[in-house]
Formats: sequence, structure tokens, C-alpha cells
Amino acid sequence: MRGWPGAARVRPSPAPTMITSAFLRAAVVAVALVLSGCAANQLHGYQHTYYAYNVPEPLMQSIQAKLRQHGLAGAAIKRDLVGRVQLVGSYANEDEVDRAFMIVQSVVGIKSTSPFYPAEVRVKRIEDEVRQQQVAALSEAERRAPARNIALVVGINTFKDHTRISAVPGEDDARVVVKAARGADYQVTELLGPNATKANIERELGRIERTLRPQDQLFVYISSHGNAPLPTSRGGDQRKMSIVAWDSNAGGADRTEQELNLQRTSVSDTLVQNLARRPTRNTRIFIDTCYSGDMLRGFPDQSGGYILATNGGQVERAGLPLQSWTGVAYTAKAIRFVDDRPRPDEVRQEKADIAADRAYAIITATSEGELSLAPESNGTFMLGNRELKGSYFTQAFFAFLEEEKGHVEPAFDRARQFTSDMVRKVSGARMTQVPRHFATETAVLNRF
Amino acid sequence: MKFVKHAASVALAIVGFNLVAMPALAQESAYADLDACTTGEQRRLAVKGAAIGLFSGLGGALLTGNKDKAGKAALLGAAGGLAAGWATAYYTAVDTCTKQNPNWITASSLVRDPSKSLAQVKKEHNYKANQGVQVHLQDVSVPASIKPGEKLAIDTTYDVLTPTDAEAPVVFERKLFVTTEGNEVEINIPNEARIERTVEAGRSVEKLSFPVSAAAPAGAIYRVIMSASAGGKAPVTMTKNVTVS
Repeated sequence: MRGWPGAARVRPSPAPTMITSAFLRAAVVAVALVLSGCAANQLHGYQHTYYAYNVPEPLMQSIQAKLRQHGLAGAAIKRDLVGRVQLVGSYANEDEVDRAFMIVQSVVGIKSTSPFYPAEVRVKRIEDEVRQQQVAALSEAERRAPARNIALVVGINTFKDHTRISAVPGEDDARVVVKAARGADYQVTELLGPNATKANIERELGRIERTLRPQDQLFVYISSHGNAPLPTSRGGDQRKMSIVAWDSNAGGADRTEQELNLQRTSVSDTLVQNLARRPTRNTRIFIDTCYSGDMLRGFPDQSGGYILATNGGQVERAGLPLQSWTGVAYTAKAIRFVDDRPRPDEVRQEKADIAADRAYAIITATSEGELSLAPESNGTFMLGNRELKGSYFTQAFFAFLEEEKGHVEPAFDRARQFTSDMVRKVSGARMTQVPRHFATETAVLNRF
Repeated sequence: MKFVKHAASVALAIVGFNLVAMPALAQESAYADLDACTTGEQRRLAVKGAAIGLFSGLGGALLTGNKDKAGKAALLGAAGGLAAGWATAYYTAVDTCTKQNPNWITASSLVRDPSKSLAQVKKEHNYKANQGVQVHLQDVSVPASIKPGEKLAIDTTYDVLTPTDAEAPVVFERKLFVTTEGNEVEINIPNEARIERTVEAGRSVEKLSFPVSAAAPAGAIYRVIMSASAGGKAPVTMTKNVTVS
């Protein structure tokens, strides 16, 4: 600070009245601050403090008694951290928990009831909701999933119990079928020869049934022996004929024991029928399986002689009972998805068509009472200029199917004609084999 | 006197903030009553100290024949007594108040569930009270695969931290999706997807057991989303996948 020359640089001393005034002001502020007090949490020794509840013991006992009285055997109570009545113990469901809370609150009031939810509740409401809603969600997810072509091909040439069960050309046929199915973009599960055990066949049938979706195409081919067909409650034409697996066992002291063992260790045709009844876009079943009385290399006994005698000296034979594999259960289009979500019209139409187009077809290599024949001694036969190895019908059908570019009906007609002629020729007109075809599709649409 | 008015209003504002900032927790805090009690105790001891100081200063001056300084001595005595009373209250008010109110229970006397390991959990999250109520999802434990028809066990481990170590209401939200062949669909949970539970501070586990449909195809993927929120904050979420084998 620059002053004039000679000017005194003296600060005036404060007047006594000003000192008193300042002191008083400071004192008043100090007193005000002190009297307003510090917040409790700024004081020495502060810790969090809660209201405690001291529910009298008789009331606790009263609650226990009420819980028992109202069927809450697993429910219990304790005092929580601050003394409120807390539900513990186990509860069947959340309705029981609600009831227990109601009892406690009615005895000690809301404030003295601990809000902690008991941990042990066996079935929670959310679990019930998930159970109920899941089927719809899965169906929705399934419906949105792309269509698949699924095939199961089973074929057996020789059996584990080959000393008792005669050989068939099932595996040779199945290899041709596998090739054709793969060529038609099927995802093929093949169970051939020793892989075609009862357990494996049943597991795959089950797996496909579980995963099959309405928009899928299904193709099942089975070539093996069939067991003697059994009557069912649905009538004589709807007999059951189980399928002999590679490890089926025909051991037994007599014919009855053998057939019982064979039936017990075979694959029930009901499993295949259940699969065939599942809603799909297209299901094709091809069974080259029949029953022949001389399938079992049994010993001559009294009953065998009797059966031959009553059958005019011929062994008994039975083809697949077609009525067991057709009918409304297979062909009905009862299961449909109703698409109520907002979608473009063309998409909705496409979805509707999937349900409407559901097709079912079954092909059997034989008619009733016929055998499915193949060249003797595992030999080959000629179809035009092609040398084929396996049964006449299956080999011919898939050869013609290739020529007919996947159209089933013309291929079947040609294969049936070829097979009938060939069987008549090789048997000296003593035997017949007339394959059968049942389809809900028109010939134009029926394409493999 | 403008300065005095301003200082007093600041002091009141601090007290007010402390009251408002207390979170609304389910376990009923006695803080408001404790605060009122300790403030009263501080006032009482400060006034008492000031009165004693005032009379002591005045009496001392009169007894020593300094009548002309009696006023100043009384003023100084009152100021000293006020400070001494206030200082005493600083150390004793909380203890006095808790003793006067046997229906209050202090945090140190709470016997907590040792499995919740509150101190450990606070240390793990480096938690400070000024962070408010927090929820941390530690783990959602599910099996890697499950068979159709089985129950899908979901154990959700979560930590709840509160400024006063009290219990807190936590909102849990559960979502479930199923994917087959690349198509994911939500399983609608109409009523129980979102629930509120009062939980103790510390670590807790919620156990659920969702039934998987017997019709669930092999390869289907169940996606479980668990989320939790508290104190008006955004939920924390964890997702796990389970494949149907």
C-alpha cells in the first residue's frame, strides 16, 4: 500500500464496544450450536439401534398350538434378532406359509411378526407356474423349429441266437434303405446287425418319439422276423406282432417256452405304432417283417406236428396285420396348432398347411399269410441289368424308387409286380407274395 | 445478527439430513428416537453445566471481592460449564439414552446368523454405509445338464448390505426361457416371476426347483435369468444355461 509522504500508517485500535459485540455474537452461535445438539450417530459410543420386541411366552405357546391345530405339523417359530416371531420349520407349499403368517399375526400383530419368509417350502408357487406354463412354451418353441427328416432303419441278417433263429436278409436290405434315406435328406439312425438289440431299438424309438415335432417327416424301416401275432381286445384283425431283435432269445424246453422267451425278448410293435401315430407332416412306415412257423429251428414235437397237420402240411405264416397299422389313430389330423400370434397372412397360411398336409403311409412286404422271400443261400438276383442282394421286394422297391425319382406309388407298383412274378417263379407257383401299400397322400404328393 | 441466523439454520439442516437419509428398512430402526433423546441429553447437560458455571463464576467473584468483575466471571463460568456439559454429553448421551430405553436393542447385542458372515461380506465388497443399500448376486448355481422330467435345482447366492446392517426388502425377478433348434421362447410366469422378500443383511441362498417337462427334447436349452434389486437401485442380474440331455 502506497501512502502519501508523511502520512501515518497506523491502524485504529478497535473500540471496547466492538469487542464485546463480537464476543457476544460468537457466544450466541456457540450456545445455539451446542443446544441444537449433534446427530446421535456423531456421538461417542453410537451404534445402530432397533426397537426390540418382547413377545410374552404364553403368546408364543399359543401360536405353536394354533399351528398344530391347523395342520401345519412342520411349522415352527422362533424369536428373530429383535424379538419378533419368525416362522421357521418346513412347509408343503406357500399356502401353508400364508396360513402360518396369518396365525402369527392374529396372535401378536403385524409389527411383532418377523417378515422373514421361511426357507423350507417344498413346492413354491413359481414352481407350479413353471410346470403349468412349460408345455405351452415347449410347444411354441417346437412349432418354430425347422422341419426335419428323421429316419430309423433297423435290419438284421443273423441273430445272436442263430442256432435257434433262422437268418433273414434284413441287414442287406437295410443298407440299401439307409442309402436311399440319406439321399432324400433324412437324418438316419441305423441299427444294423448286432447293434439292433432290443435295448437299442427301444431306446431309439423312445428318443424319436420324444423329439418328433409336427412339422417333421418320419421314416421307419424294420426288417427282421416277427413273432406269432396275438389277438387284441380290438378284434382279430388288429393283432400284435412283436419284432425279433438281434439279441432276442428263443431258448426253451419246448415250443411254448421258446415262443414265450422270444416274445419276452422282442420289441413290442406297440412302440413302433405309438411312434407312427404321432402327429407329423409325413410319416412313412416300411415293415419287412413277418411271422413264419419255421422261423424257430425247434425240435419236432407233438404240437408242431399237430399245427402242420391242421395247416395242410404247411408251416403257419402271418404277415403284418395291416389293420393294426391303419385307421383313424394314424391318419387323423386331430392335433393342430392354432397360430393366434399376429403374423403375415402368407406365414399363417403356410402353418395351417403343415397341419392339413399331414400324411401317413405304410408299406408291408407281404400280405397276410405270406413270407417275404429272398434268393436262397444269401444269393443275389437280377433286376434288369442290376445285380441286387437282399429280399426281392425291398431291393426292387428302392431300385425303382430311384428310377422314379422318389415317387412312391409307381415305384411300389413296379416292385410289387416284380416281387409277385419273382416269387411265383422261384416257388414254382406254390407261393405268393403281394406287398401292400396304404397311403393318405395322392400319388403326386407321395414322394420319398 | 444475520450471521447467527445462518449458522443456526445450517446446524438444523445437518440434523434434518441425518433423519431423512435413514433408509426405510423393514427392521424398525430406533434411530429417530435415539437422536431425539441424545439431543435432549446434550441440551440438558449443556444447560446444567452452564448454570453451574454461571453460579460458580458469579459466586467466586463475589467471594473474592471482585464485584466489578462478577458479570464477566459469571459469563466465563457459564461458557465453561456449557462446554463441559456438552463434552460430557458427547461421551455419555448414547449410553444414557439406551439405558433409559430398555425396549431398544443395539447392533452389538444382536446375535446374527453366523452363516451370513456379515462382517466378511462387508469386507469382501469394501462396503461403506454411505453406499446405501446394496445387493450383489454372488452365484446362480445350476447343473450343466438335466434329463427330461427331472427337477432343475437353482441355488441363488446373494449378499445384501445396508447402512445400518438391518434387514431390507429385496425384489427378486426370475425368468426362464427354453430353446429348441435355435428358437428361444420365454416360459411365461404370470404371478410369481417378481416377488419381494425381506432378507437379513449378509449372505443368503434362495433355493428353487423348476420342474423340467418330460416332453423337453434332448438338446433343448433352458436359460435361467435371476435378478435382484433393493434400495431403488437397478437390478443385478445373472444368467445360466442348462442343457437337456
